[in-house]
Amino acid sequence: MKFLLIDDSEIELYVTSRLLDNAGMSSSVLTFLEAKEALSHLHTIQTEDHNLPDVILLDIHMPTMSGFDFLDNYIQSLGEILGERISIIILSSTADQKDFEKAARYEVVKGVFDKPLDTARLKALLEEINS
Amino acid sequence: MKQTETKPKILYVDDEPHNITGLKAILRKEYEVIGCINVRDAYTLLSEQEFQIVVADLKLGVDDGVDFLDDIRIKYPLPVKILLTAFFDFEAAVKGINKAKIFSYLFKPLNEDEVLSTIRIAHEHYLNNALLEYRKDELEKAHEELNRFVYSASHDMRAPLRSIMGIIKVAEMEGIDDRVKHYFSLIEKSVNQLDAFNVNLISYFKNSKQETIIEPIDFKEIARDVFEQFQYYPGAENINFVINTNQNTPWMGDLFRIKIIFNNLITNAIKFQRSEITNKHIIFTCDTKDPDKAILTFEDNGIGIDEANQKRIFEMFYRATRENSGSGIGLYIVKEALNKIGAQIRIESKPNIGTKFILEIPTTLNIEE
Repeated sequence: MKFLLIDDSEIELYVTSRLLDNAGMSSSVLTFLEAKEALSHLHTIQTEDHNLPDVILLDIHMPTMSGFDFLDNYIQSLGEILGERISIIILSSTADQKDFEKAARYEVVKGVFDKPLDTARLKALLEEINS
Repeated sequence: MKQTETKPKILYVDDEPHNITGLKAILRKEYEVIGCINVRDAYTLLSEQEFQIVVADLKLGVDDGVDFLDDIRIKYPLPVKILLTAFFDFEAAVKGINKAKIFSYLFKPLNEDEVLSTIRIAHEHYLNNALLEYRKDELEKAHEELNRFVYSASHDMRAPLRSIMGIIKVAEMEGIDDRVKHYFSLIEKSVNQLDAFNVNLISYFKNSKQETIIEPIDFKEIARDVFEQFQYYPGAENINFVINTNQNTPWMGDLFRIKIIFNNLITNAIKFQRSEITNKHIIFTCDTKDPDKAILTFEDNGIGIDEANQKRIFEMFYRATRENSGSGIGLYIVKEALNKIGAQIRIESKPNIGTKFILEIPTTLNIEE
């Protein structure tokens, strides 16, 4: 499975990549420190199906473009083409339950996870989505 | 800024102009007296200028001086109110003191010394009140800032803590030798403890700030949710969780605070089990028969609390045992949340037998809008 990770912390990107690798879940992991760059990358590859990620793991609190800003932009400009194709999962350490509730209201968001990533739970969720 | 000596301002309402002239003459040196002969003009003056003292005659033509002073009390709380009267009217005095919060009386004909001393005392009273008001504002601001600081600091602390947990997880997965593994498990324990404390701090400050929102509450569901959430907590796997309730209609209450209470009491019941026994249980009961209150109990057969400690467990940072990872803030938060919803808590406990918390939460059906 192809993963795309968006998080403003390099440590988090590293940890999550390692957790996915160790769980044997990922065939490739692409990481972005800025949501804006991830968005423009997705724009570039939107028609190249073999390059598209299957899952995006998205942090919420990030400078310049937050996870929510990313979701709004993504839905508006790419939602029609990629909405069904890619599962977006929120991965955040926010202590604010409201953030999780808000994120869960987005239709493109398939799950909300607390850090560090529980790979077993993610695996189960993705199996459920793909079945 | 240039400091100019400004005289304290007195508003004087009297329908006899010669009285105004008289008072002005007495107070001229120390105070600025602005006079008017009816209540309407007084309202206008009050809206345009700031006064430290308001003096009103009892008889103001068709108007009543006490009513006037009472009327301006809410909108202009700071100026000190003085009532002027030609004779002692008992009824007016009672009404003036009880209702209009009049500070003192002056009697006609005006006696210069008496007027001066009364006005001086009134002005002093004004200054004290103004200072108190200012200090109160300052204190409230400082308190609010402190709350915000702790709240955002705890929030910011959480991200790096979760990072550390992630790194530990990776290290454990990628095979490390036993000794290092042991060290990592110790680090993990400490980090978990810090994280739990942090989450508690956040809920404490949320509890102190959040408005009360009344929502339908299903006690059974909340209990089950909390237990499910913590069922993978170390030591929780062999606990038999029993729910016993007679609630069959929605009960209205403060869901946010009730969740805080359930969270802490149930996690405590999980944490403070006796590891050596095999029939561990937690029993939750809920009785909503009484329309005025819900009675909840949380019972476990854990380590229990001895009598001396029972009195102190609700104190902030008090820990009854060294054995656990607690920080001593959980039950304090429970107590704070219970206070907010006007609920009572009682404890029955015996060491090595178990603990039972009994809660009475008043029904909040008729909330004032």
